[in-house]
Amino acid sequence: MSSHNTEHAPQSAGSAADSSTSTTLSTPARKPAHPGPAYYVLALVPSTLILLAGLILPLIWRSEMPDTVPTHWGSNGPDAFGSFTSGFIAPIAIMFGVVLFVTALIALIGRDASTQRVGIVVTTAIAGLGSTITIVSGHQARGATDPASINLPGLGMTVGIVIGLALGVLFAFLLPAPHYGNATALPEASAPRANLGELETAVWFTRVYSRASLYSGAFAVIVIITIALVAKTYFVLVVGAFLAVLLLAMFVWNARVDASGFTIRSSLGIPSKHVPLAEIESAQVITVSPFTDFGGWGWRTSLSGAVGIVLRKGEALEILMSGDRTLVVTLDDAATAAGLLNTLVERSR
Amino acid sequence: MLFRVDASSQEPLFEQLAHQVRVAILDGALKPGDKLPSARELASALEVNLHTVLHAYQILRDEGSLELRRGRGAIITAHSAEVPPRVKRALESLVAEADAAHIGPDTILTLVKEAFK
Repeated sequence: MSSHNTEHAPQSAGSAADSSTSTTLSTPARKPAHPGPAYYVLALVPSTLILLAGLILPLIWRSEMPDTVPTHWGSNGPDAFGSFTSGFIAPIAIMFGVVLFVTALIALIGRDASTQRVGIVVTTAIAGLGSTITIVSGHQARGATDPASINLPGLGMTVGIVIGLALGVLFAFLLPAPHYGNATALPEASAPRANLGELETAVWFTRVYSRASLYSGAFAVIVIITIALVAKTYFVLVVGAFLAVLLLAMFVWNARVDASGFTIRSSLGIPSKHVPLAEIESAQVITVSPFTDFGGWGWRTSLSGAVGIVLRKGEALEILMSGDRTLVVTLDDAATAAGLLNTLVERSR
Repeated sequence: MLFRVDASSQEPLFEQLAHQVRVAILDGALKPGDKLPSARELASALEVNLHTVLHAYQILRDEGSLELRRGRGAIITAHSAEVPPRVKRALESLVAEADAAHIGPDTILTLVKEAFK
């Protein structure tokens, strides 16, 4: 992890001749960054403890429950019934399986701390959801004689889900900031450059957003709020509010290239991402399709581990970093941004 | 947009910045309502004095192309419109003709100013 100072390219006749040109021949093998032990602890320990609570409480209450309990709820209360095992043990086991799967998946692609943090939020929130269902329904089942009267009250469910999410966010923040090695490679010769004078400094700013995403997102929020008000299912209002915040956090960004590197910040201030110049190997212009390359829009991680802030199809800035990390941002005039980054990188090495 | 300051240029730094904003407005890279970075942010990113950027912003405000609001930042004003494409094309052909005839920018500027009288 911290071996960046000792990593040297094998000395070849070609690279010894001229050290100022791009070193494609002697580029060191890109060593992928991997999640550290802290990631596994934060992704697995809280979620497992939450699921254990969701198992133990119903076990304690078991003697007070009817033999048959609901296993599924429709819009009019319970619509499927089964034994204690299928009502309480199976859901926890399934959620534990999901937690393990998500933890393993993120371990494979989570080179970037942001991806690992998302993994921690997801595992903790999934555990929270599972335990909320078993604890709320278990509590309802205490002393009940008719299984059909055991409901899932919206308030209890909302509180449980929100607590799970909040814990996930808390534990995600506890993940220590990783120390990525410094980049050793120089920008590729074919990548764009900026023509900066020797005594010239430059900075590039842009606003990253997609009108289409904002309009469709705002439309979705309005539809959800209308449905919630008409159907008087006020629980759905939470979803609408969450979506509105998500829209502002994920679909309007301010990006900047300067001597400190690349910085991108959501219009809400968080999330944000800063890539120090020292970690940048090369920047270039690529064409992306959010759905094909990243499976959707917003802040995403692709299956190859690239982090993307992708709001629309088309031109994007791609930054290759140490530890085999990649950041992709859809923005206009990516050639100017990439050119300035490459020139600044070359100037700093 | 790209802001750059060249310490080796004879043009003062604040004038370099103001010029870049003017050009960006004229060629449509900056549109009315667009927000420029705060003077503090721009100054620290370019590693220049805060007053250099403030000076540039004040010039642009006095020219009527920038609106400065405390705490809201610097916003391109509504009447600082982009040059229509037809004028741009005419300008490009004027420059091409002037180049072909070996007439420099100063002469052309004088001629254009005269033509407006």
